[in-house]
Amino acid sequence: MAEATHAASRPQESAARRPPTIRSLLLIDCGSVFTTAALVGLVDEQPRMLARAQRPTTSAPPIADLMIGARDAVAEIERITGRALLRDGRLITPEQADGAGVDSMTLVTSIGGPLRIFATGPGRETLSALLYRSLAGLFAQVESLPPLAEPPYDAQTLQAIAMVRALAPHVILVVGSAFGASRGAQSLDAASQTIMQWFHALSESAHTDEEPVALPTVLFTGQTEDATRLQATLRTVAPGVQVVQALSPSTLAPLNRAIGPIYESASLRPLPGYDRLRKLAATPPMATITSLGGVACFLAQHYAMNVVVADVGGSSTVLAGATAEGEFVPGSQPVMGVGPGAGQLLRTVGAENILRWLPFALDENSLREYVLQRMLRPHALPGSLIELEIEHALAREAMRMALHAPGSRLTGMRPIDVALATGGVLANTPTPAHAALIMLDALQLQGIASLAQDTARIASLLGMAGVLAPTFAGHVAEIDALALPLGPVVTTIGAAPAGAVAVYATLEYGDGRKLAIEATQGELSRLPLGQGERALFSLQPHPNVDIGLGPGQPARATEPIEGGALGLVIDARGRPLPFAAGRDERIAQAQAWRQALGIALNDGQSRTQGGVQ
Amino acid sequence: MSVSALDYPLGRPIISAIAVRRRRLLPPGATPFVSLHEQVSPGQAIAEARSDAGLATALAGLAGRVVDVAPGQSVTIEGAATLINGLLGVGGQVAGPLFFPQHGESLALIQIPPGSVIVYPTRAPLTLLQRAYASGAAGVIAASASALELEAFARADLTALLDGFVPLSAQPPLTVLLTEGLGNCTMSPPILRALEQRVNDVILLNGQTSPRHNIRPEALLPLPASATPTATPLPSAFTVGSLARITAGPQRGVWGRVSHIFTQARRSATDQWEPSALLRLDDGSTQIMPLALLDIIG
Repeated sequence: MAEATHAASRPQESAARRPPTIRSLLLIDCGSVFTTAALVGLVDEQPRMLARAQRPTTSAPPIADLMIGARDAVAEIERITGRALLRDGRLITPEQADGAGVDSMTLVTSIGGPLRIFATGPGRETLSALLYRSLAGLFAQVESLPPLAEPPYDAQTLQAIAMVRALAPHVILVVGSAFGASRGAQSLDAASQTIMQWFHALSESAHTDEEPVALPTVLFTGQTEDATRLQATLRTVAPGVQVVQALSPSTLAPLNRAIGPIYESASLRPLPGYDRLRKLAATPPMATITSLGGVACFLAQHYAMNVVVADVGGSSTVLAGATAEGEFVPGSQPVMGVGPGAGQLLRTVGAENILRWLPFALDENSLREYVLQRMLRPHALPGSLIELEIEHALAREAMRMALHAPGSRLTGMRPIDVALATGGVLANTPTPAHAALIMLDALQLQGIASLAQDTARIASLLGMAGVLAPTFAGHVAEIDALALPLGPVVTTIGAAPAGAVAVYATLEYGDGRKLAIEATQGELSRLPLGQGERALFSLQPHPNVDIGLGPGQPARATEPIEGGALGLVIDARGRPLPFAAGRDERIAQAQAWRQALGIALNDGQSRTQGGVQ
Repeated sequence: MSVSALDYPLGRPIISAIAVRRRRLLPPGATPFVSLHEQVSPGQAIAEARSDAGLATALAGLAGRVVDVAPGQSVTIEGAATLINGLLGVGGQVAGPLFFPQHGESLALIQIPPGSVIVYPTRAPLTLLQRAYASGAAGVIAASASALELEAFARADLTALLDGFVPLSAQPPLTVLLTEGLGNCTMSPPILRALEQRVNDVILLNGQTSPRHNIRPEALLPLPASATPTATPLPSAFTVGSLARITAGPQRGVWGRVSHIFTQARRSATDQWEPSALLRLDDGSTQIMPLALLDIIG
């Protein structure tokens, strides 16, 4: 399986502890809310997922020990399979003759949050594209280090300090001038001044009850002369400024390599129980985004197609894209999700953007109340179909934000040939149609694509496994992560007149039957084509409509296509999705989209102030 | 199947007796009246500060022994207390006597003793919060509140507050603790009973809330030093017989007793497969609920 990141941090320990041939693996994913364990092993000599279990992550009181949540999840796997994996808290390894134990264990994590990087310096704006490319594949949140006034601070400055304190930056990254030392000296001094002011502000408690925050590591990327100048200026507050080669299109890796290890030391190592959990694993832990990237790269290369794997979590959202050539194209929102990250999402996108996806009326206050409930109870799940719809609306916006995240190049990755839905929100939907509609709405696919749902919820675990046993993990990814094909989707771009036919579609089944439909502009349609069933299709779009081959250009498959849980879907709603102007019309629109895919509508009652039921 | 309810830092929303050690923050420039190892009572003044606004007195809030004094900053006290953890709060640490408004009295007219902590066992309306603030009350312990009204009172976006972006200095001077959280819930009977037994007693209240770190607002009802503390955290794994409260969906706030824990996941109201328990409700009916939607309360 391909690796997703530039980081070449594959220490010798993995080689030392890796058994010669992998027959079984225990995979653990410590998420911010849930810890998932999966056992993969040989079934008829083929690598397959044998069992999977999920338990709440235990990183805060009353159970502040990551090992306990992980052990609970592993114990559940032991119960399901009847296979002993742990003995006295230790992993039984390698796999024993009696079937106990596993050959190795891997660890993937998004707990502890992203590495929080505050960027400053003369090159921060001009080199931002290179900066984001360099950090691609790392679980990192990049913010600008704002300028700071001298004390005494006014209310606005105190608020800014509170925000930075709350974010607890791990790294202050100084990006040197793109044009060398002589051009950036003045602004480099200004950046040094800002850093000193921030160190002063962060080391002092604004309120007597606040603990001082740990001061961040200072990292500089740029020219040597600038580094010397910065080190001299900051020697009293930050004597250990790390210096990294200047950013350029051919030197993206040094910064990536410097940041990678800080993630483990700053984000993971302080977590209670982390060190013991870490000792069980054969390789260093991998961030979920990196692991998903590995899976995306494997699938992209395996099928020679562009692939996106989407995972919406409680605290973060990841879209891991990979091109047919194996290039990793990530897009992520490390602090936006449907649980603890829902508040940040709501503040960023606004209530209206979330409410527009709902097939019923809901006022802004009820939405706020739901979001707050999810933040207050990170382990809870939606308790009704209405709450589920709100959760899915949040997921759509979280994915949209990840798609358009700073530095994301996913919007430019066209066509997306395969889109895989994984993770608790997207892979655990009441029906496959729910996942398909979320993916279509949020990713706004164009042209012809295939959707799949990782009902085994194993994709995020497999990228790390791919480092240890590429073929083994790749096989599991192909068979188990793509377990449920949702079916091919044809999406139209451009618009036929309202009510006109956007696409004439014909299916010719293997038994000679033919089915023709007219997909009307603005609507979603389904053609029956079950999982494992194959048919030839032909499409004739309206002259104004493009199905990926140019306006009005027809398509006729030379090879039969395989159906999925939803058959063949034609999405003729248009791109970008046109939302009706009025609230009632928008609700009717959302209901029609669900009905077209066979999603049962909830009770449809309006929810007004007083809480979501 | 071992699954825990993890919403409360000590395992339950109420613990009848625990050993506590709390740092009492002093007003700026305050002079402490107590010295190291001194025994203090909850209503005892431990420091005083004079400012343009008048004289500010800090009460101990706990019964126990002074274990640290940082002049002008804090006094740390060790003692025993009944602990009530709320779900959501705003504001910092305050101490004051518990005050129950007369049932049926108009909120616009009630006389609220300055410095008191008001107990309101249902949804706290904005009027109550405003009247409490105007009367100089130290805090409010209520069952629930509307998000909109609490935000209007706190003049803060609660999502930002929960993310830690609103410093204590920008939060309202009235501390609020909601035992059941947002919405329209009534107070759990065990919590209400514990509070009712302590009318007029000085208690220590703190509204600070950070769900990511499972820091919940707390009310500490002081106990004499002779009280036997419970070992914490209490077991938080679901077992048959646990008293549990539903935390989401149309039955939010309803209680029942766990009568069976399924070994296999069950389909939930949202048609998803989840580890679940059979809950026997007060009216004798039963309900299959995902464990993720339950709090252990006893």
